[in-house]
Amino acid sequence: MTESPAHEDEYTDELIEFLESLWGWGFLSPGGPEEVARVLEGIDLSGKRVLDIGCGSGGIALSLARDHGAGAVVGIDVEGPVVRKAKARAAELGLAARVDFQQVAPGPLPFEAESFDIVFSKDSMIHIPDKEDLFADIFRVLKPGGRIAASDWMIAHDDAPSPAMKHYLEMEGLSFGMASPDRYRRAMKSAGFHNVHLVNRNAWYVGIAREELAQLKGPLYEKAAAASSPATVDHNIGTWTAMLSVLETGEHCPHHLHGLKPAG
Amino acid sequence: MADPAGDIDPKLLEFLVCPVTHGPLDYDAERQELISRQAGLAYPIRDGIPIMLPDEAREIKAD
Repeated sequence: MTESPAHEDEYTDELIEFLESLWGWGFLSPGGPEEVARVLEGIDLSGKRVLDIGCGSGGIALSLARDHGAGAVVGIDVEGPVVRKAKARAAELGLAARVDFQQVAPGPLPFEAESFDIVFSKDSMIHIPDKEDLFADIFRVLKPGGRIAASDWMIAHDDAPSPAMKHYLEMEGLSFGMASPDRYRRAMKSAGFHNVHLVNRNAWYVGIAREELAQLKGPLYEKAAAASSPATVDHNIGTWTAMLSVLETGEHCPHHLHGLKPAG
Repeated sequence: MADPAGDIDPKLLEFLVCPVTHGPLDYDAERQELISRQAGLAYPIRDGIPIMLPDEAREIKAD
């Protein structure tokens, strides 16, 4: 057995409060339920068993059950505070019978092969450096005919990050394992996925990020500072400024990704 | 449900495996633990959240 180093929580209560003041209740990534729906376009979740990798504070897993009719959703995350928040919210919304949350260790997914119809993930796989292992394991836990539908933060190339990108990553201060769309595509194909399809969301998020930065500097400042702290908001105004510069060059390029595990 | 925050979905247990051995888990409802006999570990369920971390698990003697 390989011991993974103990994981330290990076999404503190203060960061959670800050991100949710910007992105909405239960959301630690941008776009709200509308962007989740766009990731899931053309996929029918009704009655399906769904895994949400990197569920964070639970807004998405709960939306998959409530708005998309998923039969059973399991949200997993490596961090305790977000999972506890998510679990409490499932109870608040009366969805505890259909939505479960678990805290897991980094590494292989603790599920039997062929456990899920759909694996969903939003802007979380960035935290998992080994994309090849990740997609092989996602393939394993999917039923034949099952699908992966996800979005993630990517870097446009596999070379060393530009100085501007490096600066942005240092500002974030989270353990990111960013990779290129090409590497994701190769990892998905070598895992066995068919119909592998990636869509660049850079143009969409440049617009959103500009608006978010203007909000943080203006009307949202007080509210976000009250939810977290003025220092957190000030720091994140710096992060957003750095991020916008690499979004504008296209080096920072969020993508949607889809793949199918062939039946039989 | 008597304890809405406590009990976990029995369907979940069909799919959940021990992260160390990838073997099956037994649910101890009284202690709120998931037992991996192969690994000799009992994973706690806290407020209805299975904590699937070997570091957090209680070591149990093999029987």
